[in-house]
Amino acid sequence: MLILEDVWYKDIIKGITLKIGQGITALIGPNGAGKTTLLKIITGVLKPDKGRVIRPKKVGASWQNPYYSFYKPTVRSEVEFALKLAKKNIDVDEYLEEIGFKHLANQSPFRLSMGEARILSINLALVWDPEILLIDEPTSGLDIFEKKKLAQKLREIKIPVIIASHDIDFVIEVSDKVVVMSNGTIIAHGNVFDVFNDKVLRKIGFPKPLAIKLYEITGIKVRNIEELLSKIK
Amino acid sequence: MIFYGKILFVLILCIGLAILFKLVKRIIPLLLWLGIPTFIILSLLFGIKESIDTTLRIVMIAFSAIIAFTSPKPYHVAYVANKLGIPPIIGFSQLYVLRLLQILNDALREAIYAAIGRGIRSRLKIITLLPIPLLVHTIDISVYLAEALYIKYPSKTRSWIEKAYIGKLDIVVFLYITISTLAYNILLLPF
Repeated sequence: MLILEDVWYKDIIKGITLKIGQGITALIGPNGAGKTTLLKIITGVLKPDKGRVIRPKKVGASWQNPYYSFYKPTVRSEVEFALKLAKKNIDVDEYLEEIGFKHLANQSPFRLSMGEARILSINLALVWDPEILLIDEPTSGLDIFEKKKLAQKLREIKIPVIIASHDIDFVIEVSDKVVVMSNGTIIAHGNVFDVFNDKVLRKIGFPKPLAIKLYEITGIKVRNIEELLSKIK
Repeated sequence: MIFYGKILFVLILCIGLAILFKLVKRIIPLLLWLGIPTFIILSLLFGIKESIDTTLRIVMIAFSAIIAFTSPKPYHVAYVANKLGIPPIIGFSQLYVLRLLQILNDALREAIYAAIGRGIRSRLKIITLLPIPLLVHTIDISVYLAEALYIKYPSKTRSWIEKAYIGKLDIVVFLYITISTLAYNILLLPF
């Protein structure tokens, strides 16, 4: 459980109070809303000017540029290094197979596509068994197929996950709870379908997401068009 | 309170620089000419408080711009350093350091945060690992820059296709920026 109590940081975060539990929670809002800063405060790399943060001991994070978290010449050596750091006696090949990177084992992590690099950096952040995982802008630079892979990966994670994004359709697809931020404050939080009403969307200047449009037309709560088609069938 | 911390800091800095470069006589009439009419017009439109605030901001922008354009150029600093016996390679690398410091500082912080996110909590380990992602990032950025330059100014003599050459100056600049920003950022780590 992560608890933020009246957290202030410069002019960026203005008195945020929040409780985050199991499942995927998305911080959503326009650029400059304070999402990344809030993630940095949760990780502990930034200290709030005022307020209290009750966080688990081990906080894993994957930031906007996944390439910053690589240090080794190949994916295999990178995973090997991560396992060694976490003091885990797991076979590297088995682990690569498990995370779906066996075919890329001998490739440089710096030459992976953005989607592959993102998923690898998430896996590396999970190796040391953090109690909570934070992901900043997970969809930046990803194509539609990579987004689907990432969504699948996120659903497999068993610990609480917080993602900060302005990709509203992706957020609806993967998250259980949404926290809408604007200008350093929380303007709405809760279930995806309750949060994205006209008033909130107007406030953050986002267009109406596809899932909400589908809900308004059909009255069925679905996260994407494939889910709707399967329900109709 | 109208006087924000940053404005006050810039004001003090600008006054100090203006005195140092003997620009006070040239700047004051210009600032009065800019500040007074701005204040009068704004106070008629928005009231006293907002007009003082906005006038101060406009004056500050003009003040710092004037100082930037009329004060010594960065290579003057390098020449002075050379005269003092500092090797030219160090003196001239200052110019690059000053220009690249902010970019590398941001990259360095990102890399430190990424290491912390992977569970690396030892400062020494972070220091030893950081140069790798930073070097890759620097090469990537330089390739983007070279591509942009090639598209903007294509010529036979200035081409990114040519074999990359890393000279002494590049190494000195890289080490200099890395060490200076690393020391600063490592001190800021919360553990």
